[in-house]
Amino acid sequence: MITELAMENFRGFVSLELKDLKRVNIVVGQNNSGKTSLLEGILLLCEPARVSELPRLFRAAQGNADVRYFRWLLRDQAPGSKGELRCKLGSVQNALLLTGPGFRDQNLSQYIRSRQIYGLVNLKVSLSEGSKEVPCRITSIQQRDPNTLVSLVGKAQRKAEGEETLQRLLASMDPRIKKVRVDPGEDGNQVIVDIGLSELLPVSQVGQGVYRLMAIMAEIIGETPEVVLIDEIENGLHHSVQEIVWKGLAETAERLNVQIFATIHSDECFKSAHRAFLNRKNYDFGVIQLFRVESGVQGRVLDRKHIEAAIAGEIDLR
Amino acid sequence: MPEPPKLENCDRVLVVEGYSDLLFYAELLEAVGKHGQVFIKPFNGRTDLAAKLETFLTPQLLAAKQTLGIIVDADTNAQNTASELSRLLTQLTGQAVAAGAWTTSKPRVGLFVTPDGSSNGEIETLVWRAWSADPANGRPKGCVDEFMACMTRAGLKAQSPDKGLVSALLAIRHDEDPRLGPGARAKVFDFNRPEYSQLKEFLSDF
Repeated sequence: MITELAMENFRGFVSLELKDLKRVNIVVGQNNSGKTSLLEGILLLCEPARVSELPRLFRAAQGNADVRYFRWLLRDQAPGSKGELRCKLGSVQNALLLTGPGFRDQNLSQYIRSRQIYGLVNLKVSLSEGSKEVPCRITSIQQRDPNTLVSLVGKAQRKAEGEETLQRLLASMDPRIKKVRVDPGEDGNQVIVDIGLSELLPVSQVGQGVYRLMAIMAEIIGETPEVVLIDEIENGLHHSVQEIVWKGLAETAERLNVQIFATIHSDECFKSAHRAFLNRKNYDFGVIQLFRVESGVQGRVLDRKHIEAAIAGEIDLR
Repeated sequence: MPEPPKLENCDRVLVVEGYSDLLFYAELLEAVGKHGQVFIKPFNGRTDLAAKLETFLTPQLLAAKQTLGIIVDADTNAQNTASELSRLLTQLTGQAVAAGAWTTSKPRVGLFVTPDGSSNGEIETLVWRAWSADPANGRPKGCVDEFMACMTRAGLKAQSPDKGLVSALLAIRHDEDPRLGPGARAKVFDFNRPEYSQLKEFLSDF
């Protein structure tokens, strides 16, 4: 699990340091405060080999990526034309050095060796020795079409104990759920659930919260990431199901040993997340708050004490 | 009724303990000519005040605002309240914050501990002191005192005696809502009384 993060001269971050990260972290801040940039940085630290995928992962990609995207990965006019990303995962430290066209300084930090993994005109990325690859999944809580859901559940079921794990997770959300399976019906494959009725029910009939959770749970079981990134998690999610979704994510994260970073916009989503963790044995939930000041973007991690203070004092964290 | 100011539109912020305080200080700010110029942030109670201040006073807010005032009640230990809050605000703002005074850098930070900067008590202490010192209120003051004494003899004591006195007064003068803030809004209290001068002077510096 990533416990600490640091980003220097990456996108709008001059010097961002985040410590004491939790298993489930929501990222809050005003528009243009760097929420999506933070996710991009985390992905790079986890799987630097995916750097070429970055332009289209979180943003609308268009044109020459080197000019329109990678040119802006390094903070504009960064001193020495370089930036660094670092994270701590237990006893391991991952570090990346990003350098731009103006980079001349050969006196690199002690732990960064010039193992360049990516090179374009506007950006080079070098990885430190000893960095560990961390499987990272970018996902969404958006409604999936039925065929996609079938594919995800199928993949989860093919994993050893995948089917049982999915059923246990869903049952923790809705105790009526006894079984989940892919049904090869005459009118096409669909996912059906046993909730104790005379017949198994198409999952779309169970409820929006469970439907969306099933997709994300199946995806995590099937793909086995260690870190999951979710951008704008509450988009299209009715406020009445937000707490159920967070309970499901909390359970999934803990049982499958996954760390989640999710950006949010709404105060209600933040409060729903807090409520979901309140009754859990471990309140392994934190808020990463980003704010833009004159010198760039800064951030901090709020623990339970400060989360509860924000709610009690009606302090808007965005 | 004019819209209350919004945090993002005001460069002056006053932090107070609760909603009743918000209404009271809004009236007092109007009395010193600062109506509509200050965003008043109530913290819904004094519990976890330090955590609330740490959460609210972000570098972004401190960079964006010109003036930041904090008014809290001394309660049972004025000296402790003043010194703890001074220390916390100094740490959060990077300026030497002292109770009863304003700093000079941006944002200007001021801390006032009611009732008067040095005594134990709360804002109701000041309000009762001012109201009861007015000779015009001599007889009703006697009635309220008698009521409180009678309740004490009956074995019932207000948790906060000064709140009890003010609420007893407002039970008659503003029975719709006998709390301090609504009472102030209903103009029950005379802010021209000399007892308010120290607090008004603090608020005038916003």
